[in-house]
Amino acid sequence: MATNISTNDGFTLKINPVKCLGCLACVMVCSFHHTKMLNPYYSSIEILRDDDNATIRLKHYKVKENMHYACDRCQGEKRVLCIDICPTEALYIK
Amino acid sequence: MTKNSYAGKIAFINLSNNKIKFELTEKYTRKFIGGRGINLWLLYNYSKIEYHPLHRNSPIIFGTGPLTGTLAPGSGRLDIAAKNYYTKGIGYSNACGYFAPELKRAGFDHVMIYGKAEKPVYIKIINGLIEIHPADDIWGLTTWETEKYIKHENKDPYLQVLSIGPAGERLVKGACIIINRDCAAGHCGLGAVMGSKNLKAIAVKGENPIELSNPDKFYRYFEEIWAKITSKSKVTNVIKKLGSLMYFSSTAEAPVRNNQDAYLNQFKVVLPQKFIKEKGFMGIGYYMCPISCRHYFKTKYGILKGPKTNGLHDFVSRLEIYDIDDVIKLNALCNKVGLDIDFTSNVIAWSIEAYEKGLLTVKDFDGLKPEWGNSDFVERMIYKIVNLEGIGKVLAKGVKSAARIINKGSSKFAMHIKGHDLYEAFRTRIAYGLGAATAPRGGGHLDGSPLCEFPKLWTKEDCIRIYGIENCNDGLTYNGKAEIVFYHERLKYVIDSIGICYFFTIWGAPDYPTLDDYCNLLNAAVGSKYTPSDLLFIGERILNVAKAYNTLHAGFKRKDDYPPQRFLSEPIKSGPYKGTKLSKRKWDRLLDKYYTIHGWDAKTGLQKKEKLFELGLESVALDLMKHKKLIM
Repeated sequence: MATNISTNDGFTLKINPVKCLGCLACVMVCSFHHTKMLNPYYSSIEILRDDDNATIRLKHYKVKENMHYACDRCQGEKRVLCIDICPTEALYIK
Repeated sequence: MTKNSYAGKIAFINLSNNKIKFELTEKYTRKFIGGRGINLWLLYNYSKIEYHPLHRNSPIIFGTGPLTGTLAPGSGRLDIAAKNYYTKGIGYSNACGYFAPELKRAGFDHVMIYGKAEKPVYIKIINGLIEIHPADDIWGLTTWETEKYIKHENKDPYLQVLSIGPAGERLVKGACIIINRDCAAGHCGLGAVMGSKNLKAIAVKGENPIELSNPDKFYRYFEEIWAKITSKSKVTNVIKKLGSLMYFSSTAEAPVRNNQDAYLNQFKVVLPQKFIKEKGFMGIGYYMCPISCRHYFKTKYGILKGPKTNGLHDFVSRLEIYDIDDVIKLNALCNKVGLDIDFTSNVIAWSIEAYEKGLLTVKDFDGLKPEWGNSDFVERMIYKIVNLEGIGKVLAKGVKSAARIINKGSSKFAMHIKGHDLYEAFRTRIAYGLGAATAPRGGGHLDGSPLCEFPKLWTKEDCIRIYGIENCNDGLTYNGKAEIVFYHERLKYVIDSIGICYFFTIWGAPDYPTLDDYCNLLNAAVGSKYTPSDLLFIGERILNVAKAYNTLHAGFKRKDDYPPQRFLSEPIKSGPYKGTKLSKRKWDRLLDKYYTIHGWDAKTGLQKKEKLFELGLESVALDLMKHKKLIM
């Protein structure tokens, strides 16, 4: 499913935690977009699984923090890669 | 140095003196790629014949492959090798989770651990720095508690942890290594090998990026492969919901009541589609895994991660426990205490049958009454095994040894291959069975066994397209099966060496990515010029290293490549395959063919000089020659 890139300033990435498998494909593809390298610590997305409560947490880095690049809404790409790659359509833009 | 997706280094940690050495990975990559290939070559070279698997200097090796931690599907698998606790031959197993990519980003493709710590320790590897920490406080804890404790003690939720439970500490033969609570490296007693070194856990964190030789090319190949799995496969929708559970079907042979039968007549009670819908609420896919082999379930015992296909066969088929909540609980209990579920259900099923046949009494079970379908009994037996209590102490040695101890003819129904407890049922699936019977590590369907003998998923056209063999989906035919197994043996060693999940190949589904696809991806990642044939050649080389290790360390020969007696002598009692058993005469001929196409000696099953030289394994040939185990 291709997702058009939003130019809306209110771009916020959301997750349906029940759909998310925790595969980190979105995290890794984001790292690749920014650097052509693979490192979750470069990504503008963080997914953390909490096994005690069987939950998934998403953190969307809109500004640079530590090694994490700020989300640039996939500038230069044809699609929003994280949303596009998700095998369960768990990510969406609000 | 040109950019590539290797971390570049191998660490050798001696727990006896806390000394650490390093080597460059590139010393081994040309001949063995990475992952399982390099693991087994290191094991071959550092493990002495006179070492017991639990000898202090017997190494255990953790390895990643060149595609580990990249975008490749299923590239989160960690490969582990050590001398096999069951067989004294080659031992290896792998597990998914998030550990392997973290290890690679921490700077290491492989970590070999040898020696023995004086007191319990855990190893911490962070961004290239290796530290050895006391583990007195966590010795005795479950794998779940251990992971939590280490993350808490280090105040770092991003640490990835692999650990052993009490089963590994007490050297139970079926002790496994657990990652992320339910990813198990179950085969070969690797948990006990860690336990014998007083090594409770390894925690890793890596913030270094993984580079690619040709990122743009890599991404193009990745997109094609990802689409094949997530949207183009004809079984995508089923797989997305069920993962490997789709192979738990009414037409599949099952190890019912310790393989006394092979047909689960109450199959519909535990239909994966049904119980996932009713109780599952979240699929789980670990690193770069777009399918859900397991789910979180809401059970009467709380929220727990559920089993994969073998969990269902182990507890439902083998022990006839039909309450899915109980199955999920027992599966989780084994993961907590660090017990391989295949081993656990096998030894318990054997003990129930021994009781049924009057060879054991209620007194032997300390007053417990063994019976099929009784989950309370199974739970108490799990504790007895882990605590080495009563009959549990006997079962903890594995079914082959347990049958020898109890004797009274109980070996006849002790299900093992080469001394390793057996999961696979194969009176109606010849290729699947041949793969398990000849697997160097002793049983297991993750060596040469294909899944093509599931006619619902594999059509005639698939058989011809992939293997060039008509009717490969007919489980009962012996024709062409040796060739299919030979292909899968090599393919599996390649897949485990490049560092991805086997399920995402044509093994998992006929229209999944091929070796050609992964060859392209690998070349773009490491800048190599492999062809698929080159990779299969390397796969064959690794297989021959494993085979030679078995010959030298365990003395295995042709006689060790036969199925358990039960499959040859007792026909299936009910269901669509009623009356079916394996034919000794046909198996003999199948083995002749199998050895011949491998370039091995059909009479003895031993390797030939010519083949080893062709594969560039002259030193291995020399070792075998010294021990008079090479056919000239």
